[in-house]
Amino acid sequence: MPDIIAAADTTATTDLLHDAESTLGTLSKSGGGSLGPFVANYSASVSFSGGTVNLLPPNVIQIADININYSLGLSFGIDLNDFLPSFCLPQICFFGWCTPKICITWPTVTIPISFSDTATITGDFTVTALLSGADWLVDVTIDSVPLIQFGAGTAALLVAIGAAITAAVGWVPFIGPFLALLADAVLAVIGIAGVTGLLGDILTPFVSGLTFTVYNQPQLFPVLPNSGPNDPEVDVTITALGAVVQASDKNELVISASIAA
Amino acid sequence: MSLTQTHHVFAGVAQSGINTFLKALFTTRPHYLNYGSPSFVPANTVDATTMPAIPFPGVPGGIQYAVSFSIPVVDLFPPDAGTLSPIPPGNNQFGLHTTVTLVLGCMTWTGQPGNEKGGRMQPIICRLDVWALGEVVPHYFGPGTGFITLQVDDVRIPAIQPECLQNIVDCLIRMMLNGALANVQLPFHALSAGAFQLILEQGPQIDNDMVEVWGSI
Repeated sequence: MPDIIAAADTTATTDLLHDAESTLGTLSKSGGGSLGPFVANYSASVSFSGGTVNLLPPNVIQIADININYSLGLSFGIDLNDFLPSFCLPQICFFGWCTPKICITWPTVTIPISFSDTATITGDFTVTALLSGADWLVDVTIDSVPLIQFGAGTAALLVAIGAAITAAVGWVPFIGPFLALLADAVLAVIGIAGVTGLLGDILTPFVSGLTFTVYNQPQLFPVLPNSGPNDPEVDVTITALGAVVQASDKNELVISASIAA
Repeated sequence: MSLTQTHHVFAGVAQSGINTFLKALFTTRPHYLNYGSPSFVPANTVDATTMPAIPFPGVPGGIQYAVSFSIPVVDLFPPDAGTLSPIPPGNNQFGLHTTVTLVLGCMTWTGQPGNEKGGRMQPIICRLDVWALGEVVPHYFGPGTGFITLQVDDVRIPAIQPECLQNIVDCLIRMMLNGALANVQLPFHALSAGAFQLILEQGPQIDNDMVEVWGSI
């Protein structure tokens, strides 16, 4: 028999999971990816919240609808010549004096976008107790890369890209009549598929191997704090730790510990 | 039957765990078990607690003494097979076994004017097996905060005769043991090895060789 047994039902395990999500905090990553035909550089920060727990013996916690709260800073370059017609202002002569022939060459413009939204995932997580350095952990780790549900976020990102294009090219001479054409053309080549592909590329590394730590205590476990010169801290050593999902009239996450003085 | 029953969390510390906690506590802070008047314990240290001598008219410096307990060993209900306790634990009780060492500073002095009155002190030592019976008492201060203590209700020290002396010694040791065990405050967070902050709803209860509590987080 272990020295200590702690059990949590589905409700309490959900609370432990939500605490673990808060403890995990905000994760960040930057890199590059394809946005349709464009190459976009991004910086992304992600946090997790929510989710509904279902305990599956012997060692699986199924979590549904975990929120992936993400914020993106995107930028990509557009060579406007790829989307807008080239034209020249013809030479005009007046009484022997002629204007030069002016041909418009469109610039390449960088489009910056800031975007935040929430996606969701549902997946099976395996429960594992392990000694990591000087700490005992109970980790729940996602078994495989889940399908990321983006919802309305993809369409919203397309709208944000359109607005960002309009704002970014406003300074370009002669572009006024072509503005709507440009935005429509760029959004058409990116499409929902391009946005979904980029979001998938950005968020997948965050959810691949996603691990929440629902138990984290030092191996030298403090029972009583130091409370004076004659009352030093009292510790016990956690010599072994186990974690399983146990089936009975209601399934429970059961953590068991062996201790030594 | 689930461990959490109608609650959301359960924490249970087995008899072996309780004894490990006691060993850790009393090994780290042995002064909770060792007491003595200044002739035996001149000052408070981590090892022992100094107590005033017992004043008695005509006894120079008072009666010097020392009391120490071995680290108690707890037996949670149901009692261990083959227990030697004359008072084995019943439902929701714990049994406890320790050894008390009583030391009396036996003074001899002349009391004649002009003579040396300091006298001589000869320690007389007696070790007794102590069996006790008690219950776990919760002290709850709010969500996640509280501790449990061990309260001794009865003590038996076999082989003391006559009965009146046994009653006196039993009562004396029960009072001393309760005083010593008052320092055993096992916080809630230790009951679950830190797994969660317990909001106590039921317990502590002693059963299946465990101290058990239920609640939510």
